[in-house]
Amino acid sequence: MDLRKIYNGILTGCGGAAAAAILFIVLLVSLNIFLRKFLQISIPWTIEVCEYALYFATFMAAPWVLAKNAHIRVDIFTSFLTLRYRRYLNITVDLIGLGVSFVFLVYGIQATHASWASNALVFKELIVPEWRLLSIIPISFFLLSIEFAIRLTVGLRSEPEAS
Amino acid sequence: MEWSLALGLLLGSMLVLMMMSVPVAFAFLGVNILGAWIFLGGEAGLVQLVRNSMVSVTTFTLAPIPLFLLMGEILFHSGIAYKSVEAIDRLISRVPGRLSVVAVVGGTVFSSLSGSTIANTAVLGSTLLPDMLKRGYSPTIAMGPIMATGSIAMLIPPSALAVLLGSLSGISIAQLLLAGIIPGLMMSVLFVTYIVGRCYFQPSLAPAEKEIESFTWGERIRPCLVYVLPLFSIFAVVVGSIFSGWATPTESAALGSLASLGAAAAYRSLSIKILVTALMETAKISSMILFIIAASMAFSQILTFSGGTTGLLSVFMEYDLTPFMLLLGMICVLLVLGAFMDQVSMMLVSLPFFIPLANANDINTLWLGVLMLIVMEISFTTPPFGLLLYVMRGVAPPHITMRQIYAAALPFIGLSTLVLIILMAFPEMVTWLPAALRN
Repeated sequence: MDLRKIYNGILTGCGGAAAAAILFIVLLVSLNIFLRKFLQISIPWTIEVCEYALYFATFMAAPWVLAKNAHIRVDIFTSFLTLRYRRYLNITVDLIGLGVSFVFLVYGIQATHASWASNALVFKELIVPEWRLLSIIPISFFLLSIEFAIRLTVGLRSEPEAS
Repeated sequence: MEWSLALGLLLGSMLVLMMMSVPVAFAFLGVNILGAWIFLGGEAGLVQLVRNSMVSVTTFTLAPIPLFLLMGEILFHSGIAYKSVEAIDRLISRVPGRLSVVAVVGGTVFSSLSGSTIANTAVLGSTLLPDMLKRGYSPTIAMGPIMATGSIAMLIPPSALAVLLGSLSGISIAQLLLAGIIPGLMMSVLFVTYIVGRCYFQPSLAPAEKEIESFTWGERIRPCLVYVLPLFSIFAVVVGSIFSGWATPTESAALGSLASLGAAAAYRSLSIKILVTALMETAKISSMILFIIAASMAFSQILTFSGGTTGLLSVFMEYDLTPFMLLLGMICVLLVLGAFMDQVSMMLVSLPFFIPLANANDINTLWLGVLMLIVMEISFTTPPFGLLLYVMRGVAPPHITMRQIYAAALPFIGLSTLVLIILMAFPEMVTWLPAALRN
């Protein structure tokens, strides 16, 4: 199996994990409502777990959304450019995206490591090691960096007329 | 650093990145890196930025965004939304600009079943737009109503943004949801009146259909009874669960999603494949929106920390203004913000100032909340950054230019502004329904 297939599989898996997290929120919140209404019991950690699921879904799906070219962008001004200049601009945009993702990757690792080293805990209904939550950000930005790097490579290799 | 310089630097660099077509979320993130480095203390600021990005979306009040989106996606992918639009299509006949009127009526019905402006625009855009263009409708009269009605979804309950506004501002969410109904319906009526009037006086905009299928009244009404009326049970589940005290407004979104699944199953239109597709699409759009929210919340924090927000608002507020003038000032600030910010960022930037100001000046916060929703609804279609303009770009045929999409949105922005002015002049139109139902 080539690397590209493995990489695409990972991205689709990220999207699938985000979709599963959303279904989980629907089922957990609904179950909690029915338990509360009919059995007068509730699951105390429902809101907290849903919040983590929401955060997980947002950051895990982001690289998959980028690979699908679905992140919102304002293309009104660039649509007036010739193919040649649009190619230069796309390369610049991918470079900016790579730079931004790399900064978040580096400082995401720093934040996660600092949290792990200090054994920081999030106290709500559940007690969760903070580093486990923070680690989603470097994972997400690692994949985003790879995606931007792939786009940059493709952009640099492309012929101006074909871009 | 002077607040004006800080504001110029942050907003200016964000605008430049956006105009370069850097994805909006990454434009925010890029400026956040710059802002965190300058205003939050270099490397420590960047570590804090990472933490803030996590905290900003770890919020239960944002849960209705994917859940209301899921309601729309289930109805969309199971084909029920199309069947209900077709049912409305059959019901309306012999009206100038008929398909545009169908778009408004269908969009208003769908608004009460879905809390997603994007799903609304996508459903109407993909069902009606190709047919309208094929029949020779001008792109202006074909796309404008779809985008305008799409944004009504945030006024008519269930509305993800109304829930968010209520939870951030302390305005009663239940009352805010109810208060949006009359303005939403007013807009629909105004849009239909405009379309019919414009197409009557300018028939070339929407050529009359040559072959009109003749149906009996029974054939016209039956699809509505089968495919439209039962769907209001989804609306009843969402709104009913809130008012009966079964669920909080945020929780009601989960019940709404479950009700949509139930409706799709009842119509025998639900399969594992459809469920997976709806969930994947929801994940895609939710992540797109929530990723922007994560980035723009940090941007708002940096903007506030730099003194830019306070400085800008203090310029507006330093004059001795009457409550009405103050309200007008707030609306103007929101209209300006709406030209380049998403709806959540607008709320985050303005609410910490607007709510105390409104309370101090005896401005009804429910009224203010609905006016804010309308301004945000307008900003959904305001060029150059209105989100629905880009959703329309996504569903429109390739030959439609961005300029045509902008031109199509403009008349409806004018009509929405008219509703805004009417509601500013007559606050009772907003407060009457929640008060009547409370009594």
